[in-house]
Amino acid sequence: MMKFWLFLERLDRRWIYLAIGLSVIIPLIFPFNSPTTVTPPTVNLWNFVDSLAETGKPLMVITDYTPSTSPELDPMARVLIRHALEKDVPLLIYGGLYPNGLGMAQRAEHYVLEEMGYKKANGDTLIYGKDWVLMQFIPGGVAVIMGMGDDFHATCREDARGNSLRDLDVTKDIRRLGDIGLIVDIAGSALPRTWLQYATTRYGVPVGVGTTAVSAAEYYAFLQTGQFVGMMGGMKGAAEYEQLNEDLIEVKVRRVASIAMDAQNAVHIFIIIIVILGNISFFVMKKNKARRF
Amino acid sequence: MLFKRTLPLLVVFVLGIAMMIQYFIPHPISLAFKQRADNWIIIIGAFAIVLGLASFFHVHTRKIMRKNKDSIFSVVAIVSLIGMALVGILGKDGLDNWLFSNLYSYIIVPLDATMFSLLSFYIASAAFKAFKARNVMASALLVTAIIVMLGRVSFGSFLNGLVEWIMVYPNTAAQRGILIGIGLGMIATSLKIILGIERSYLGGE
Repeated sequence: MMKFWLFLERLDRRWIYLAIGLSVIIPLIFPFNSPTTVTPPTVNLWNFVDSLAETGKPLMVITDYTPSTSPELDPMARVLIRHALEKDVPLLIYGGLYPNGLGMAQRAEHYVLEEMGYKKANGDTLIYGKDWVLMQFIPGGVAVIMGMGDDFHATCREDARGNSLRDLDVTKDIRRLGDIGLIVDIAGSALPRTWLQYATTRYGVPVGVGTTAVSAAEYYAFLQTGQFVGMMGGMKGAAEYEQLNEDLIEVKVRRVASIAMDAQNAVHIFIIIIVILGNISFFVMKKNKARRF
Repeated sequence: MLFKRTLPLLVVFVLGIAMMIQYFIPHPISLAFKQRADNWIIIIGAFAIVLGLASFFHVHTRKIMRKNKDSIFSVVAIVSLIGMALVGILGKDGLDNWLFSNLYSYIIVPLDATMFSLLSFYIASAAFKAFKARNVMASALLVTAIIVMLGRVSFGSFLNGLVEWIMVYPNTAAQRGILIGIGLGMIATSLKIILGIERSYLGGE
């Protein structure tokens, strides 16, 4: 037995890399359809987005992230866009405050529209400008949020395709940020806090958040106070939203986040096991050394 | 001295105080001033991109001139930047240009995602080697981490309540402390900049 603990103590890290790689790849090839339990932050966000269908106010989905976090955050952008388009909620897709976000927004837009075949649930064709708009990148950071807050059209004159936002159905009646029903900022950074500080505190727009599992811990403080209307935290949050879309508005599609959750489950379990084994080995070796001296 | 130090300090002081005061005055003149300032920030933000590009070319052309063994990477960086920009500017259909979209989706996205995903291998290895219950605090951290990790997977749904409690109470308490500290630090730093005590943004001090 002592040999085993000694082997663990001296284990080459490349074996761990290999095991992690296999733990990710195998569940992606052979998914085991692990069940998804929805949690209150995701349900609150879903309900808020759904309620926009009654008020007719637009939803702004912001892809404030770069490709590095896209495997975790892309599914969030997709489920939100899908939800809005399914429920006829006017939709603004915005790449956010950094240039890379526009590419992410365009990818999410393209993915969902291809998935829906450019058709609504009732068979009508989805029309750009009437159902959704892709906004362009504007440099300036926080000043852009404040500019939108005071005069939306003075700050955002054109969409990403060069059309005047005054001429598009989705945006023509938005005079300032306060006319938007909900902003959901999807980011792996502190940017949702910036939107909260300016869009909510100054202009009264409700803000929700989609973020990586690592960053989610930071936002519980704002969820508890009700400043964020809801949150999707990590891949699990996206999988929960997929589950809600499927159960409540019958969106039957390939659930990317739920499949990826299988890989995440396997990796988490593997890490827990190696941490426990590492600790047992640590104590056994410590005891053994104490005995020798 | 006037243009290098006194004038910038004066501009920062006057605008800093003015922007602070205008926040509390909801008068049309105050709002118009703020709107103009916001537009100025957006314009200056666009110039930052030009500065970034200038710095990028300066660093990489210098590396190429030195002809060291890594200068090939600088060539790749410059060619990629110019190539991507040309495809974007000259290509038809603007944002929906086929080549531009594919270069982004099939080169930039996988490269960036791959670099970031390497982190998971290092984290797993580091967790195995260093995440040990050496003392009471480390043990508390270890147990909490295992509960939260388990609660984040499907098999650990029975721990959802406990995980939510950890995130909403102990985690929020710690986060609030950090946030209040950051907030106070930001106020102090802003005041130091406005009053001209902190001058490192002028460079060289």
